[in-house]
Amino acid sequence: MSSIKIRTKRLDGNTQIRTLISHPMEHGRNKDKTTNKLIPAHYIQVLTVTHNGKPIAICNMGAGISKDPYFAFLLKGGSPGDQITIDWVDNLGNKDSEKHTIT
Amino acid sequence: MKASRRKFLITTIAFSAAGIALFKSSLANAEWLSADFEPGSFDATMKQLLKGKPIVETDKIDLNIPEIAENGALVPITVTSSLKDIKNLAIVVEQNPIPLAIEAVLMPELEPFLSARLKLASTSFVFAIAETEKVCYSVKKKVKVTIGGCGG
Amino acid sequence: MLITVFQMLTYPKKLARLIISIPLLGKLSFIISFLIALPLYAAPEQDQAAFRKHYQERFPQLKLTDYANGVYAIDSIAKQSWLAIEEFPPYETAIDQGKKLFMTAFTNGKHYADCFPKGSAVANEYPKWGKIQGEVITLAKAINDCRVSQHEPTLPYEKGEMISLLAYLAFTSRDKPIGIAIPKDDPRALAAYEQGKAFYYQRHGQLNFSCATCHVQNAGKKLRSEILSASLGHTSNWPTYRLKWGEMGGLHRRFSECLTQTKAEPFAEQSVEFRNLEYFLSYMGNGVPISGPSTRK
Repeated sequence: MSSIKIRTKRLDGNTQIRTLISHPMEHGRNKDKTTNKLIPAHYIQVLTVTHNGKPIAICNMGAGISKDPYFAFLLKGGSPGDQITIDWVDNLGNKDSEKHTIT
Repeated sequence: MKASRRKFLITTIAFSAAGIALFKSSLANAEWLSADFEPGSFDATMKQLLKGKPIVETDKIDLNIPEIAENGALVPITVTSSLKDIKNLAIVVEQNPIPLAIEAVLMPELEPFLSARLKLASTSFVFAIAETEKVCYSVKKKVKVTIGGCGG
Repeated sequence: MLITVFQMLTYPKKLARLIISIPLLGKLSFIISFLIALPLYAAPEQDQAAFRKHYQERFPQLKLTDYANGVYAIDSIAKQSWLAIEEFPPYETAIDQGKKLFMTAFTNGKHYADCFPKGSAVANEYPKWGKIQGEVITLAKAINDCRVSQHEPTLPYEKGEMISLLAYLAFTSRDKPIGIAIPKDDPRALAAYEQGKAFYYQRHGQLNFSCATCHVQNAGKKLRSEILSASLGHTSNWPTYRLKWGEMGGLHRRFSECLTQTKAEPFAEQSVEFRNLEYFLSYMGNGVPISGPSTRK
């Protein structure tokens, strides 16, 4: 199952793009309660939103973003059939990508 | 007919050139800027963000964030603005060990709008910084983080 | 004594105050006599009516259905950020996983639907009295009982697949009113209910708090920075993505946490004690719609 969920909604002629990603967003300062060892840092660094093949938002982030991050953007216009793609890459080099078609 | 066609061509070329320029700048930004996300002072973060541009406080950015956080682990925030030429929208949490939470390059296809969920280590001012061609605009709000002992 | 006990049943607040005010030995004998006297003087129906009347008087602005929103029904500041989180809540992944699990065949080719012939939208009917088993069957236990009957290993109760299944069952049961029955033809059912009730009003741990101390007598008041939620509807919103946990968890995990917070020894998830407590508490909340899965602070 993809780590990325995407939803779009038409709002006054614009399109709201919302995404929820399953990711621990560990900043590296938390301790594992059972082993008492530091949980290594593990967080998304770059998230990209693409509209019909063209990047429209590039977000750089650290672990100051909550676990299971959520983002929303507002696309000017947008039409049914338009393709939205969301990609992320984290500090360990893991990646994921998900496509969504505006309805 | 000819004239309009030429005009069409010129505009297309001009636009695609601008497009390429934008795309390049976005790719450059796609490289994660580790220096921006190092633990450090709020002042150092701001200095890096502003890139020497003057900073102006504005009421043209709306920062929607709860005054009292439910739990510092997840604080919903929405930034919107009536400013037209925002290239870059950043959210900075003054009291966090790594103050910069997110820096979003927004292409002209997007409205100046960004929602996210932040971690807040303690009660802090939260800043939204909007970068335009010449000036950076800022707005701030204080968010109280209480010790979440119980609740639910 | 009889009159006092009767009054106490209608006014648990007074009961608690009285319990602290009497010395230890007296307290013990009082509790014992209270437990013995209880089935005689208050049918579950009366308990439920008194329980609700208390909240109606305290929160006249709330409808019964509002209690499904927990503390957010009475904390307007917290409600704003809660609603923002519920826009696209982090428990959605669990619902998807739960659905997949519910639809996946066991090794013998059968499905959960073979144990739940009415389908997944049954969360509002649990916990149930299991006449054959002679104990309270919570939804989590029903899932594991199903697995055992299909020769599958049981699932751990705290997290993972069990919580995802519960999330899916709750999601498909949303808005259905909690409808718990205490069958009159089996005195063991009433006894289980009474045990749950006694646990609820009994003081536990070093801080000497009962569940009722916080969530009946002080509901709506502040404990440090937090507003205490009402008990009515406390069983409607599970499982929950609790921000403090950073993950999903079930009602019994929250029971354990409450006990730990009052410096009492918690019981295991799905222990008889917790199942009976859930039975009592769910019966008190009859009519409150299922709102799980949910997010809480």
